[in-house]
Amino acid sequence: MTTYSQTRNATPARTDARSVPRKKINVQKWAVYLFMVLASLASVVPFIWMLITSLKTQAESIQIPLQMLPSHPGFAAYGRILHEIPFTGFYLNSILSTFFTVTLQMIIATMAAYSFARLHFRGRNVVFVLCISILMVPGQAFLIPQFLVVQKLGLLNTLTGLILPGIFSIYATFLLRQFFMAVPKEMEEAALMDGYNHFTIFWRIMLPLIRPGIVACIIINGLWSWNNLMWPLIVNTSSNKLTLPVGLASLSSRAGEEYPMLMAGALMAIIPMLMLFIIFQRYFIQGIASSGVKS
Amino acid sequence: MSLADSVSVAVKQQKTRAADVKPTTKTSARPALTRLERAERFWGWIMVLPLLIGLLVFYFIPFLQNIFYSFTDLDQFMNWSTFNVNNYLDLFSDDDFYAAIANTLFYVVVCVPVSLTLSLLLAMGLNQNIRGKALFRTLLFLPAVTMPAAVAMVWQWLFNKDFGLINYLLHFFGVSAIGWLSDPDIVRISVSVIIIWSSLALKIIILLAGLQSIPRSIYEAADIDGISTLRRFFCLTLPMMVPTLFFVSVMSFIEVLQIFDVVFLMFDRSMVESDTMTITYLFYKNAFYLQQKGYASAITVVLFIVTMLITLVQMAIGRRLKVA
Repeated sequence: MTTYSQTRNATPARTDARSVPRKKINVQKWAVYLFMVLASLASVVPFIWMLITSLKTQAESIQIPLQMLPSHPGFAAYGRILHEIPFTGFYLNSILSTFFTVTLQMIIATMAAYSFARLHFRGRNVVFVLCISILMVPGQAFLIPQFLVVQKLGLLNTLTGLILPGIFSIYATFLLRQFFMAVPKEMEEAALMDGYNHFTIFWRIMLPLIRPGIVACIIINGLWSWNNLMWPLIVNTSSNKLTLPVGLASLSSRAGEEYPMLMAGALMAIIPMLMLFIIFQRYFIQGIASSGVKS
Repeated sequence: MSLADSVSVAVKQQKTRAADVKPTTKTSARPALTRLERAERFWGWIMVLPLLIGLLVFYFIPFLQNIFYSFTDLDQFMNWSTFNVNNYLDLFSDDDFYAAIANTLFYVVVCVPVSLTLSLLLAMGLNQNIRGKALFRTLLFLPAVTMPAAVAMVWQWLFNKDFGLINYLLHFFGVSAIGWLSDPDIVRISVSVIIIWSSLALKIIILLAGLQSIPRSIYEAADIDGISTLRRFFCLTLPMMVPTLFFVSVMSFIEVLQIFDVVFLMFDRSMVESDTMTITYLFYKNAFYLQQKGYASAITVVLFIVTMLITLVQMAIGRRLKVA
């Protein structure tokens, strides 16, 4: 993590000896600093503007010339949302759907990943390559038939329909398989000698060993499920069955130009994930990074 | 997420693994399996079974069904009467389709290079030992966990022509109000800004992990040789980062091909149809709004073929760069 500029500054004697002007280093350092500050501002201003707008009244939000801060900040917009729209219902649907999607995904994916990584049986490689090949197909290519299956099962506008196709995650299986493959072979051989069966070995020994991989998967897939728009938009259309993203879409077509209300809704929808991210930042970053450095 | 990359990696691993495993399976599969081997086979199949059944019902069969539907005139009641290539012929005379292709190309040309450059610079910034690094990191990563629906709403407000913050700030520099979301010449740039803003964080995280895995000793050696900062970047950092950059660019490509949420939420239908159509939006409109499901299936088949072609090109490039 130590970098060039730091090593340079840490050893001024040597830098001076090579007669690199110190001024130049400082300019460089300030340029980096300025760039980072500007980028961070660009990143965070939309959130601040969301918060400020949500505390304004409708009249204040469309005042010209624009007034930066509300003169009487209040939570009226939040109150209106909770009263006029089944927003708590959206919350509940989103929480339930994310929870069940991720839990079932993990049960199914860890088992399959263990089998693909550790157990030898005929046809395993063919099956695995077949599964992986699904990742090459854009998701929309499955949507219409998936919708028809869910419709046929009579599961439109139900929680089951909402989570059903998503619980089979090839992506998670693939990622977890990488983690299982990194575990030393001796662990399970010893357990096999002691007469444990493969499921017990998987459950008692292997699962605890790949906990970082599971955490990474839960974070990536949990985020994805929480934020997903297209599938919930298609299968759940009655207003008490909407998830937060779809709820926001319906709010935006309903509240139109009432931005304090829209911003309050948007902020309420993203607050849980923002809080989780700030608290568990390290795990989030490791999780996302491990999806990229797997090769 | 990482279609081309993960698949090529997986296939390669399979190949090498298959080569490793062959001798043992050959000798053990022919004679009766031992008790342990039978147990392994039994548990092997049992544990992949739930996944396999799910994939069969929700992915493998739907994939084939989708191709079948693309030749029919399937409607919302799941009825179809004709079976021919009309959908594909219609597609190639559909103005919306060409608009979607043109817009997607625009987003690829603008968003992929810009977001790649910016995220690399920011990752390098975060990799320096500067004060307040933890704060910068938290602030820069916030968009990664923000739901696209909310992103679309807040940017719609920021870009508002009359009351938006951006036009307000610009008027201090003497710029008159810009119709960020209504002017057909500008709207695609506005959408690009939003796409870049919301996708930067993920790329920074992955690139930063890549930067941190470069051995420090290389830089120390370069330091002793007294190499200039610019040469350090082009001769050391960049070559070491090629595999990660390649992965991120593949990811970025696929992301851009699938743009839907922002466009769906920010614009009303007439605006989308005239100026901001994307392939995924075209699919949604036909499948679930106009209820021309057969035609929508044909769109996804074309999208699939395009994705495959891009994947093949990327794999070829990857092989050239020796990263895939």
